[in-house]
Order: sequence, then structure tokens, then C-alpha cells
Amino acid sequence: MKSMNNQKKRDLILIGLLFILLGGTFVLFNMLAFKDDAALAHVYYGNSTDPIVSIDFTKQTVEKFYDQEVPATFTSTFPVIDENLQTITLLGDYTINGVRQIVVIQYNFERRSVQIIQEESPNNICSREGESTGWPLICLPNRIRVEFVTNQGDFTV
Amino acid sequence: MPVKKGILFIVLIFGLLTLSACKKPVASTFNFYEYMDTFISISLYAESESDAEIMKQEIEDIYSMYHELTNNYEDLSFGSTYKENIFTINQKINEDIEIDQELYEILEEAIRLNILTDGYFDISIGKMVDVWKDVISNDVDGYMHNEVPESVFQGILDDLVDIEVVEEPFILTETDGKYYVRLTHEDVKLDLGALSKGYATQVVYDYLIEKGVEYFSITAGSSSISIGKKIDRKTEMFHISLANPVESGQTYGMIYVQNKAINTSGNFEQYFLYKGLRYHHVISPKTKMPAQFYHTVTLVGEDAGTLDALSTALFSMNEEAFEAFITNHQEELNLEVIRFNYDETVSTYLIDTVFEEF
Repeated sequence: MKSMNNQKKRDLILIGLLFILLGGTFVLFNMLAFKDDAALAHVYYGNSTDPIVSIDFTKQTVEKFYDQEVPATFTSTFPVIDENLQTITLLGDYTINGVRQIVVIQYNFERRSVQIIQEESPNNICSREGESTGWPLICLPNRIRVEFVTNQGDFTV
Repeated sequence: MPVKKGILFIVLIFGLLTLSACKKPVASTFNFYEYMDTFISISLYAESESDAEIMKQEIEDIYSMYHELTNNYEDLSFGSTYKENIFTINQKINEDIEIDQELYEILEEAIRLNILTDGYFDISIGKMVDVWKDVISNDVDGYMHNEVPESVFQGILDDLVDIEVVEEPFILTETDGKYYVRLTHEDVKLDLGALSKGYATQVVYDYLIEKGVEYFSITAGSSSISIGKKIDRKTEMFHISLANPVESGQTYGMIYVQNKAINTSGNFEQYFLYKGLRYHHVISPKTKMPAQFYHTVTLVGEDAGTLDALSTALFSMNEEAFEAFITNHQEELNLEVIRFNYDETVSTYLIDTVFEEF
């Protein structure tokens, strides 16, 4: 009788454990599979298919991959990454009186967002797009764009 | 001796087969910023690097040509080989103007789509679109994403009263292999913005198919995508997320597709607010106003140009007209729809595309 009870108890514990394991896996799976937040945002310049700068929201780092070719009249190199202001400054292709204009991108690790805060172009479309957490920001006349890497589809329409 | 020759032959054939099987397709991506106010990106697998280079050039030529011909805000570039573009045509009312065959054909297509949609797609209402666009996105005093004061809104309505929607806005004629267009009324201003991008994309799609390219994708802005097959996935299907129009950065579903065109019209990028409703840049030729029936209309179908125009037209139709259009044309056009409604519900009209709602 006693051993029977013990066996039942052990069965119950086993079933309980199985439930917890299954439930845990389910919760974990949901968290991983349906996490909408992007972990990375890439900044591209010109026709290049390789990012010039990457923002990693998980590791909270910003990495530069190459420098832009800049006319000799500019003393600094681009892009410039300012970790205090959380900005990335690139030299765009839009010119005023023959001078190429800068594009300033601000990132926010906590909000996993990116925003174009300064840029020169006829309609200022990209700086008026506001803060994005997934939508690509494209500065056409400056030939600069920011794209988020998501674990969702190949494209978003 | 003949046996040996036979073996040699078999070995040769086998060798050739293995060699050709080993020939890896070359992945290429081309990006263009210069055409149709859109970021255009094409990814494809070609047989060789030189093949890809030729295709890049020819694809760029296609977009460049349609960009120049359909441009409605500036004159043809200096030394252009084209006869006229939409901007120059819009300057001349009641005049037969000789145009290039390519422009003639896209205008013919616009007429076909106008008839197909019972007037909901209309390229001649550029003056009305301008009135709205000016208040939405004018650089100095545009109200993008902001509430518009009553006086400004009333100003729009006053401006619109004086602009007529013209029954037969332009006439196309062809004589002796020459092509002509004639604008019939001073309120007519042609605007191919809702057709040219998709139309040119379809020309590129047909070009790639003709070249035997199977694995590719063409994205013209975030609203228009044409795809072949996906190379590195067993199902060879592309997974396309649908952007949530009310929660920025989120998606509300996914479709699984190949060898299709996909097009979305939405109210969530450029708009202003008036009494809580979104006034965007898709203007209904029936009311001269932007409609507030849906947040987005996503179409899946065969022809990118047709879809571009249809998503615009369907956006202005109320539910009854929308359903009637689907009933009458779904089969003939092989047209599928996923619609994000104003009350944030989703309606679908599907044939065989798999749609997964999150």
C-alpha cells in the first residue's frame, strides 16, 4: 500500500515536471519566435551592399566597417561615431553649392530605434519619417539608408 | 577499340555533366537611388559575373527610361533622346503632341485600368493630388503626421471646388507609325505616380524571365515587390511580412509566395490628421478626397503595373464596391487581397496564397 502511494507520488512528480518542462519550452519558444524587436540595424551608403556601420541593440555596440571616400576639402573622415550623443554622421551625396552635406543618424539602444536627425534634401522625407523601430529609413538624394534586420520575412510590404 | 571509345565517351559526358552541375550561380545585388523617387534594389542569381553586369545595365536603362518619360515635375534632361515627358505634356492643353511609343503604351495601359476600375484609377487628377500633397508634405508649412487647423482644411476644400474631374481627360491617336496625345481640358494634369513604378518593374520582371533568370527579387520602394523563386530555401518561397499600419515597426502577418507581384497601398507614411482621421496622398477621383475605409490594401497577383494601379483604386472603394470588384475580377486577374481595415481587423480574399496572421 505504502509503496503504491510512493509510486503514485513519483508519477505525479514526473507528470508535474513534464508539464513544467513543456510549458517552459512553449513560453521560451514564443519569446524567441515572436520577438518583434530588431536586434540589428545596418547603415548603408551608396550602391554598396555591405553595411558601412552596424548598430547592435543587444550588445549595445556600434561598429564601423569602412570609411567613406571624402573630398580633400574635408578635414575629418566619415562616418563619425559619437557614443555620447549616440549619433553616426555620414557625408551624403546631396550637394549645396557643390558641397556635400552631412547626414546625422541618432540611435537609441533602450528603445531599439533609429532616427535621422539632420539632413539636407528638397523634401526632407527621411528626417521627417521620425523614429523607426523597424521601418527602413531611406535618404534618396543623399544615398544613405538604414535597414533593420528582423527575424521575420525576407521583405516587408 | 570501339568499347574503349564508348567508355571514353561516357566518361566525357559524365565529366561535362558534373562540371556544369558544379557551375555555381553568381549572386548579385544592384541598388538604384536615382529613379522614380524610390530606392530600387534587385537581387538575382546569374550564370556568370559578366551576365550579371549586362543585366544590371539593361535594368538600369529600363528604370531610367520610364523615370524620364513619366517624370511630372521637371523637363526632359538636356540632350535627352525622348520627344516629351509627362511634365512637358502637362504644359500643353488642346494640342496634339507627338510622344515616344513607350510613353504611348503606358498611357494606353492607364486608360485600360481606368475602365477596368470604373474610374477609380485616374491619372488625370494631378491638380487635386497637388492640393493635398502641398498641405501634407510642403517643406515650409506641411502638416505631415500633425493635426491641421479647420481654416487650412477649409482652404483645401475651397481649392478643390474649382477643379473638375474630366470625363475623357486625354486622347491617344496613332497615325503613320507616329504616336500622339492630346489633353482635353485645362483641369487635366497627368500624374503617373501610381502606375509607372509598377509598370517599369513588370518590364524588368519580364526581361529577367526572358533571360532565363529564375531566382530573383525586385523591390521598388517598400510598397512594390516582384519576385521569382527563393534560392536558399527548400520550398523556394519568399516570406513577406506585412507592415502594421497602426503600430510602427511591427508586422501583422506573413505571406508565402513565388513568381508573383505584391503591392501595398497605405495611409501610414505620408498623411496629416484632421479631426482624428488620416488624410493621405491617395486621392479618390470620385470624391476628390482621400478615403478612410482601410489602413492598407495589399495585393498579390501577376502584373506589377496592374497591381500598382489596382491597389490605389481599391483603396478608394467602400466595402461594397470593393467586394463587387473582387467578385467580378478575382478570377480573370488571379488577384488576391489582404486588407487591414480601419477598425484594425483583417479581411482576406485569397485563392492559393498562404497567409498567416500573427
